[in-house]
Amino acid sequence: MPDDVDLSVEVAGLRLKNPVLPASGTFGYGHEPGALFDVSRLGAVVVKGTTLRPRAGNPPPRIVETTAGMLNSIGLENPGVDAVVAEHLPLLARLGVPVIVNVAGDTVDEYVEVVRRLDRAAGLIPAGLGLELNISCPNVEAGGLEFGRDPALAARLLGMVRAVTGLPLIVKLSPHSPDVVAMGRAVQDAGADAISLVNTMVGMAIDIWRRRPVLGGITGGLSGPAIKPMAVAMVYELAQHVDVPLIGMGGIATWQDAVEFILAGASAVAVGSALFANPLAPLEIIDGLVDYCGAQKVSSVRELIGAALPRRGS
Amino acid sequence: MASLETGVVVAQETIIPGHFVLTLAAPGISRTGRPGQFVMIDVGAINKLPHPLADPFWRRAFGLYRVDPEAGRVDILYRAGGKGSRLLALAAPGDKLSVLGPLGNGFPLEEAEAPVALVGGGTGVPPLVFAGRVFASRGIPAKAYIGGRSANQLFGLDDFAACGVPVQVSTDDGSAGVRGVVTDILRPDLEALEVRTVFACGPTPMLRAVQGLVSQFKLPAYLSVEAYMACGRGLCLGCAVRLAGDGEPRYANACTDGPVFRSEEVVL
Repeated sequence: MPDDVDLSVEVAGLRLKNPVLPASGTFGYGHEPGALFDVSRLGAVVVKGTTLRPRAGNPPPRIVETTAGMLNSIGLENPGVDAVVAEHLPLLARLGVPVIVNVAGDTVDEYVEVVRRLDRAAGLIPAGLGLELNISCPNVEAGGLEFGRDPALAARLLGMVRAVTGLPLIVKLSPHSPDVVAMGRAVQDAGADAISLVNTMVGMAIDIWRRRPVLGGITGGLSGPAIKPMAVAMVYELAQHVDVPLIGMGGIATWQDAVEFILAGASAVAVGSALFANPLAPLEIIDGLVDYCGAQKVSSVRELIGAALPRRGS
Repeated sequence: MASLETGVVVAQETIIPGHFVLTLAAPGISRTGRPGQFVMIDVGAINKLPHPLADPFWRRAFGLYRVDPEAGRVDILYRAGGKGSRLLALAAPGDKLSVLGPLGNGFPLEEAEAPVALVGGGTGVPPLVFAGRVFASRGIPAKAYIGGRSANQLFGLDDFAACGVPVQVSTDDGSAGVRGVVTDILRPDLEALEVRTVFACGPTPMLRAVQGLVSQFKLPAYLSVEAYMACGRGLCLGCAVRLAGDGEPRYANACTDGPVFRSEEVVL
């Protein structure tokens, strides 16, 4: 394996030793033994959706397997921002990698307050603390996806959040944005340092014998390889219209999938529900990227970012 | 502590139509696996294909049926019903499987006051066989109460008999044992005070019936619950089980907090 390949990237001011991250909500808090590998090998850890107060989450069943993917309706179960700061950030600090906390809320005030409290805790993570603003969760009644569908609303939210923090701010977009370019530009202009896409797609499964929806939350978010081509297309589209770095996700299971996103314009990639079946997928992707760079005779993965995009001005 | 292990298929046998016993060489799990714990097998990556199958997308969970730490072997008994288990049924001796386990808490064998009733049906039976075998080896009195649709759907009965655990059977159609459901055969023994603890594993409606019965008799009971499971490691929070209690609902993870819960702890 070539060991002189440089996988490091910079996203939103965070220095990542490689571009491979876990997707929020699929990796717990990153320090649990369930991770099954040395988490410090990741580019960063991305923590699950964090709200102001603890949330119990949605009634079961919360998940169901679908063709080449799954639906989830977890409902942002989390212990609340104060517990994340007090219990999880100190353990995450020991990993020595940047930490990105996914932030969710029902109202602008809630997002702002969560961000304010995380901002005060930034010193806990010397490797760098970033925030991923979740404006695309399909599984909560208020907020969430509403912000992700309306560029003006999203920009207003971002402006309010930007006013209370200088931390790296990543905005996570929904595949349901009616116009991803308008949305991307709006959040970029409102101060986003990076954009991650895509969150899950709204989907549904019906139990034909009970004649009822399978999920307790009725609909859920579709993830997995089933949504990958759609996600690649959205990254490819947005990459041509914004200047901030993109974090690509949606169905990544292999290094080949990760390469597609990078070539489409993603500076980093996140592995989500594929981690469930293959806990070691992130490491296999890191190794695969090294080999691919070697085979492509590039010394840095950065040379590949957006390499499949049409040349500007041509 | 769960770990990933490459299990090599030693044998795979049909026991009744559509039901298989898979024997894996998996020394780590064979040493640490306890009754009521489970493993998750990546049925989409038999022999670690160069590109994993995206479908089925999840591993499949299987309760431990037998472990042989000396031979380093683990048996699971499963019904090939869905696409994942039907794929697994194609695995042949020599095939390599990625096995994650042992997972979950298992039955509290040490705390259980004897005699113990082992109550189950369908693919809930294998973990009870494992528990019965351990009780028998320790000279702890236990009795199995097994329910099924019909005589030809029953399995595991010989296992109980072989280790000296008495078995009573119920079937929906009366083709074997008592006609009725498993709580019908359990109830008289509870009334006769012949049971001090109940372990149950089976379909949710059966567990609910057991829950109702043991609460009448104020008996300690431990239920191994079923839930859709994606990661098995407490990361996805998908396998939520509602906890008993008033006010705001609270949930536990079937994978890491269970799958065995005290009967009065959970709402099924």
